[in-house]
Amino acid sequence: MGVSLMNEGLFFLCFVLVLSIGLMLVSMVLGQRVRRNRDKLVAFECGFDPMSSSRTPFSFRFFVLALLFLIFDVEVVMIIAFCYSLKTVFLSLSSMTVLYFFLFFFILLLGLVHEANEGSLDW
Amino acid sequence: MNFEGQQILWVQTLWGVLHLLISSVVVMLLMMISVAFFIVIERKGLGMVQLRQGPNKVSVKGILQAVADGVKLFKKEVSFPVCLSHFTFALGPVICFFCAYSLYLVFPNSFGSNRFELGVLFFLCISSFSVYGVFLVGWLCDSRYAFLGAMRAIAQSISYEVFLSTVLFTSFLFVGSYDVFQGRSNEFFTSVFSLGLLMLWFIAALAETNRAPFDFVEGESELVAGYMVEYGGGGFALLALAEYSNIMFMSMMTGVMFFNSGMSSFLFGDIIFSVWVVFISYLFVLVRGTMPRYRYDLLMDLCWKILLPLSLGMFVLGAVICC
Repeated sequence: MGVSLMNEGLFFLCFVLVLSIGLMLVSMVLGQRVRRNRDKLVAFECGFDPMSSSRTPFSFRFFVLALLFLIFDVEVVMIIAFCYSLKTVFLSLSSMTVLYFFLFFFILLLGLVHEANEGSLDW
Repeated sequence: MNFEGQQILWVQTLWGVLHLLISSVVVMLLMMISVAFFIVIERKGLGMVQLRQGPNKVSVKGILQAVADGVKLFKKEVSFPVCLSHFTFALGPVICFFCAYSLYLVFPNSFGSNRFELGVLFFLCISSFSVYGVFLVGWLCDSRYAFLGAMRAIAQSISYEVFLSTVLFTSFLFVGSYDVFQGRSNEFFTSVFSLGLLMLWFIAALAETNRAPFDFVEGESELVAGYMVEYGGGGFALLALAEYSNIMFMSMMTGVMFFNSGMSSFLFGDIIFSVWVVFISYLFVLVRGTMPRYRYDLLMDLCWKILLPLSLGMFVLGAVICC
């Protein structure tokens, strides 16, 4: 069948995408004509004129945070497979596998403690 | 293939596409209506908490307030900042809206035309991706408030995402699959363990949707309206709809994960499920009405130093209980 090419989930996603673009376009078409005005073109800063561009260097902590997030997201990826297999094939897994699992979590917690000690988690 | 065979194939294809279209339209229509009413409920609830009436002029008791607001927002003029093109300005809200509503692909109702077997993973992927929408919205329009709001929002949601996904996996450990529907029809949870898990999950849900007491994105006195400060009219409408739809989805996941007793039956289970979703969404409103705002550095400390180790411990404990 031709439909089998078109996955149901994919169709829904495309539909939502088209809908969101459509709503944005509708708002642009239906909206009132813009009266050009200098104050409308600059960024809003509570009634003041912006002094400089907002593209300034930013706090380094956010960058460190993003790096930490990457590390721990990998951990989440490891959990995915474990969580899936626990109910179904856990009995057939050897006790060594369980041991490795706990070792993994131990190392992970150790890493967290190290980062907290180091001060990269202090805000 | 002869002519008649081709004709039959065409009819089948058309019929299939029609089927898909109708199911998508129905899902989206119902979700958008429910989000609109959720906005009304929130304003009413906040009014009641503060001993005032909330919106009560539009139609009967202000029920259609959200619809009227929507119409008004779409009629407003769309003013663009000078520094960027119309396309990039419109891109951010579109991505936010798309991320928020594509989540309803995994909505676990018994009448659904499709069933997503890895729905939980899809949920995690999309909620990670929605950070890009926030980033585009806040960073592209050259405004300081929007930039700070977006930075806060991103840092908050990526910090709490690790915690949230660990709690989520702990709960789905007992289901043994990533199918949200199976999570709904799996009745297991009424222990002390699940109560603790529920508390962790609710904190994660509040932080992930940037709700009070963790609403640093738009701390009114500090950042005006957070990352969406430059948007008015249709863009703002899309962003607001996305925000409230995320809250609805989070309360839906809460219902599926923790209050799923009696939800496995066909029609009756659906009704119980909807009642739970409404109740938990209202809980979000009550929390906003009662809790004072937290502090940003404390929020980060809470996530990385307390909640994340706790949730990892919970996961190990859950694995031990489960096997």
